[in-house]
Amino acid sequence: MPQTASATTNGQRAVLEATGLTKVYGSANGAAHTALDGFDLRIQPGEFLGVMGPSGSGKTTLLNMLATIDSPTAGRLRIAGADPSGMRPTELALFRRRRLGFVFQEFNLLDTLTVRENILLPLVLDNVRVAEMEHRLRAVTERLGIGALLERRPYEISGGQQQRVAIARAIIPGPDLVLADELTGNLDSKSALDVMRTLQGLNDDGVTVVMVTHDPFAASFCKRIVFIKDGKRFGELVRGVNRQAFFQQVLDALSVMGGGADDVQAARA
Amino acid sequence: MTFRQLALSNIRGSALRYAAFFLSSTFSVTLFFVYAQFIMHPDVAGGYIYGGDATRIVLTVCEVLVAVFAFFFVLYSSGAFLRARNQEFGLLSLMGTTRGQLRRLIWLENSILSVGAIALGIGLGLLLSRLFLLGISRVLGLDEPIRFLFVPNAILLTAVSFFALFQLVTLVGGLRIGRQEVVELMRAARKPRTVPRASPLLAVVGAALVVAGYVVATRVEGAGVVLAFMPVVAIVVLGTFLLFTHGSVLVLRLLRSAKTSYLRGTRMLVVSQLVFRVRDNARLLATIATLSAVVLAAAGSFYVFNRGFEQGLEGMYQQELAFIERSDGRPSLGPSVVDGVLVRNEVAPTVRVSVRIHELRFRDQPAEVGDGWLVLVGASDYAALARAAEFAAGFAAETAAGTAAQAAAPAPTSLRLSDGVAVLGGGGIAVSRVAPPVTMPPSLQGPWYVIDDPALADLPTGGREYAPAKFWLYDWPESAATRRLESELQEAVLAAAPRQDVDARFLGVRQIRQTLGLSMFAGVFVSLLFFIGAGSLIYFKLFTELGEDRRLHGRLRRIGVTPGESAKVVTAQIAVIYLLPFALGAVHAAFALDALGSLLQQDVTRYSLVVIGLFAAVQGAFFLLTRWTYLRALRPGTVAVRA
Repeated sequence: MPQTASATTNGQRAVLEATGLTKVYGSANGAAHTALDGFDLRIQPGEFLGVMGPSGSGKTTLLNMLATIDSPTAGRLRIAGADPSGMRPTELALFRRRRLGFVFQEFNLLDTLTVRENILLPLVLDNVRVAEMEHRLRAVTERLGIGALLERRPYEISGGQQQRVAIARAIIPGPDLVLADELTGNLDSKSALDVMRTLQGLNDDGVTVVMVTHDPFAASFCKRIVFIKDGKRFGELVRGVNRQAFFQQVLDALSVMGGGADDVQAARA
Repeated sequence: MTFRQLALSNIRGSALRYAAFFLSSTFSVTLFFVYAQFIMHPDVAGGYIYGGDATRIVLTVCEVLVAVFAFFFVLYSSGAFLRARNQEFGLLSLMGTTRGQLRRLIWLENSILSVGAIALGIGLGLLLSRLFLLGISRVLGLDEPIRFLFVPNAILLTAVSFFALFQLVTLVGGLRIGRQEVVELMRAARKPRTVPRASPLLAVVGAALVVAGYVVATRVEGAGVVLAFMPVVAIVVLGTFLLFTHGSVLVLRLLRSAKTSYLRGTRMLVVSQLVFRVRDNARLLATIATLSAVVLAAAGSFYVFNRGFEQGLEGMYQQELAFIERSDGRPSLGPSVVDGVLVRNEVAPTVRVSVRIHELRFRDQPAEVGDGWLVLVGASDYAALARAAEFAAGFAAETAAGTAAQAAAPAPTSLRLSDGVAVLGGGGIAVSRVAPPVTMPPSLQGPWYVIDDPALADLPTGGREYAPAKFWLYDWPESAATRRLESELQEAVLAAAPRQDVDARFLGVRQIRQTLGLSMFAGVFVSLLFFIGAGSLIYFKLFTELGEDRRLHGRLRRIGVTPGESAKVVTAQIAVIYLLPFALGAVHAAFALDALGSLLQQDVTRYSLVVIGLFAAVQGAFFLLTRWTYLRALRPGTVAVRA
């Protein structure tokens, strides 16, 4: 289970620290496009951070860099005390496997593996002892309520269940940070609520989460939301006590930001 | 835009996707055609090639197997291509294309492709046959190379069979398309692959069939081999198919249940991927395994026969040159000509001996003697020959003591000939039948009869056809046998004497080597062609799965699978797909060659190892090449090949 500190105590080292993160695409033919422009971000252990913005705002670029599958053109990035820019591909892969957890919109589970094998994949690749794997598997699946699905195949279970399996795979190595990309995008409203509650519960247990989303409903589960537009930071919202009120604040912020009308309509209430 | 233009532009549009299918089909056609060319070539059919009949039988079996192979391959790949285009068909249906039109579209596309593949395949086949003939003429320095011919029947057979095959496959595939709902078609692209099911019973039956085939192959002796051949091939082929379709899944499932070894590193990914890969390709792999076995066995047989003949050849020519010098006016070779050539080439013969022989013409002989000339040799002359040619003629030594009639080794035969008795006087004369182990011109082959010197001297000639002559035997060191010497001698010898009165190592070995080499060359050539064909089939097949693999490894990369681990998974996958069918085929072939060995009563292990080793090298090279290109294509950042 997650080993991250249980509270956002003061003075603690940030899990993630980005300063002046910049990404420029396609400078070869002269038509350069700045997807991300001097972006700063600091995430404390135990946070539940949302990243919102209209299409083309640079959300995905940001997430890809945080996920270490893309490298910044300029700026500094430190994740869990390490600098990914200096790592070779193999080191990077091992870093992702051990320190980061991923949850994707399209689940990215392997159809050739059972649910059990999908969840165990990161541990198997690291040659963890079988007894230890079983122990962690039991803990994680009980926590997520998917213990009965272990011998099924991903295509035999519902989308919400698949997403919970994906979450299980993301947290089983005990990562410093879980990155979620539109994780409710392919789910019906009930499953979305289910998955978001699950994620919130994990955060309550101390898992640090960064979630990129279009969906104000999903975003309303976050403790803090960073808005991004045209590659720049546009603002920030911190959640109070009431989630319903926070949801309204998010909608207001999106309408102020503009260009996100579609996103608002996608909201589920 | 007419319907035909739509079909054409579809083909152009998915050129890359069709390229693999088209090239593989072309390869099948080429292979089939080259075999057909050999089988139907008038020189082969007419028995010009040594062992032509056997070669023809082997190649005919190969031909049938190539046809079966091609059928399954085309059925399989065209099915896969149609499935890959389901969405496109769904879209066309949505826009109001009728089923009939869809079928016609598919039929048109496939017909255009098949005609193209047949034409190109036959063209390539002609080119390859031509290259083959040019190659063999140069390699062997043939006086009369196999003529390059257009064999119209082979062209016709190939074109008609393959056209029919493509039509049949299209019909099957087209019917399947017609039966599906539009929604099903549209959704098909996203359909997940279900877990392959396997029947343990069928897997066991498959293994049992193969083992039974092996047991029979190792147990049968002599003529039983011929009798058992077809049944054994049939059960082994059936067993192979069951092993690939059911056995493979079962074995992988067992591997999967062994937790501590399965849940380690990349093994889990490799095994779980293989379950699908092997099962999806089971028919193709089984076909390739079977054909590998056939080709290896055929190549092995060629090799065994050829080595056998070559060894026999060395035994047939103990000395370099033997000829008859006649004194009855018939044209013949004299020692002076030979000596002249030898002196010119500064070669000193190690053996130069002559024996007086007497050829008697008998009619009305008993069966034992046979029709024709009877060769009589005096006992002391025979002893001299034995001394010079260094062969043990135990009785010849006793001949000197005048006891030839009671000679020990060959039993004396009394020549009781209806008029021979009168000729030889008394109640017949005792002779010893011998077969001197020396190089012998064709006209002197068969037994010689050694006769006491006094009796020979008394031999009356009255009224009988009687031809005294000299048998000459020459030998020189192998190092002296230069190409120049041999060609000069050949010219001199063949100019002076009829062929049946002369024989020489350089004449016989050359002649037989030509024909042996020819069948060997043909065998190896065709086998290699097969392996290249099979290798490229797997290659194309793997590349049709490239898109899926790119997606898979892209996902794996995101969640932290290292490039090295990805490469390991891919390598294991390709290795199994390439090497498993070959390995099983090699085992099949080894048992087949073992049966051949018991038919020939000869140990063929060494030959089998040579042939299998050679082809393992070819297959290994293919594996490495594929692995290299595949890993390059999988690397992130490279443009996906649509296949």
